Amino acid sequence: MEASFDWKQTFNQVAPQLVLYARQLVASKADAEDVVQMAFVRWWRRFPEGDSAHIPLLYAAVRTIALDQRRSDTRRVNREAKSDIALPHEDAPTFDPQPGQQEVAAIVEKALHDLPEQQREVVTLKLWGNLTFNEIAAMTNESINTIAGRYRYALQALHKKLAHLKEDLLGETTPPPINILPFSSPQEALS
Amino acid sequence: MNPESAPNDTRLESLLRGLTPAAASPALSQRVDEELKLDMSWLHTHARAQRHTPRWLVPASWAALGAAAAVAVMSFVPSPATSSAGTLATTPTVLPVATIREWENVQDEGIHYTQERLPEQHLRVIARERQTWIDPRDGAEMTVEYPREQKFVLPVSFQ
Repeated sequence: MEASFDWKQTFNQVAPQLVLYARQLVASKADAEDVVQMAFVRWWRRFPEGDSAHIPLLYAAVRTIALDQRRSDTRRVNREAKSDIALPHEDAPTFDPQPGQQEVAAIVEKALHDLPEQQREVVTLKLWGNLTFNEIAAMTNESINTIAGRYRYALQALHKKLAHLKEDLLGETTPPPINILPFSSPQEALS
Repeated sequence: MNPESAPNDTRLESLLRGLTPAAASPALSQRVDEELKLDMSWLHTHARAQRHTPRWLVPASWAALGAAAAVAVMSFVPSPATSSAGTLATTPTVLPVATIREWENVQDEGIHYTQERLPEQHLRVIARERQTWIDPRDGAEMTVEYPREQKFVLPVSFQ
């Protein structure tokens, strides 16, 4: 079938973002790549022309397969916990930072990990998957306001984590606190 | 307020978007390649076998019989897409993947003699056959089951 000749081009464009998204839903990069493999093959069989209009369906497939895999993994983990089998823990980097981005990448990776999963999912799909709020809402079966709210909260949390870098990277300066009292300190007022 | 247009978040979003997700491992691309090729190899093997390999004549006949039966069955199902049967007949989109024959009864009809006075044993085998096809594009399976009766004539020698 000749339509399969250029799947690599599409795959190379979307695979890093898909793996990043899948990693927000499953435990390790290896699991995430398994999910992406299944989702991409399923999607390509359905849309062998690789139309970018169907990319949101690819993310939806990743989500469905990841959640299925997580359910089965939960059962496996419970079984293995009972039999004292150690589970592998993987710390492969999430981002491939350019020179000068290492600190930001490390902080963002940690901050993403600390976010609630629903916020993490939305911010990943929005920022790196380039999906619209409408597409994310349709995919997660939530209202667009819910999705926008999660995104807002996620950005606020990331903003706090990156606060000490704001001046250098975000071009923001923290304004000095405004003293509304005619005293320089509470002790002065009491004396 | 629309978060997409909040001015305070624009720089943060730009900063975050500037981070490139880590590349997928080369093995992932290889695995996808192999899985997609597997589908294609099924189609190619099937096409070659039908044209050149006499050993496939019998399975291919069964496949054709099964496909005809399937088309006949589907023609009775009310469907707005009346052209799909024609498409199915012209493009090899489904592949035979399994033939299961279950023998239900064997009747020994005894020894008979030919015109040349040679003995032969007659057996009647009653079976049920199940043919399964798969559409490799989406994994859909189609199964047709039908009864089958065969008569065997075996040479006999008395010693």
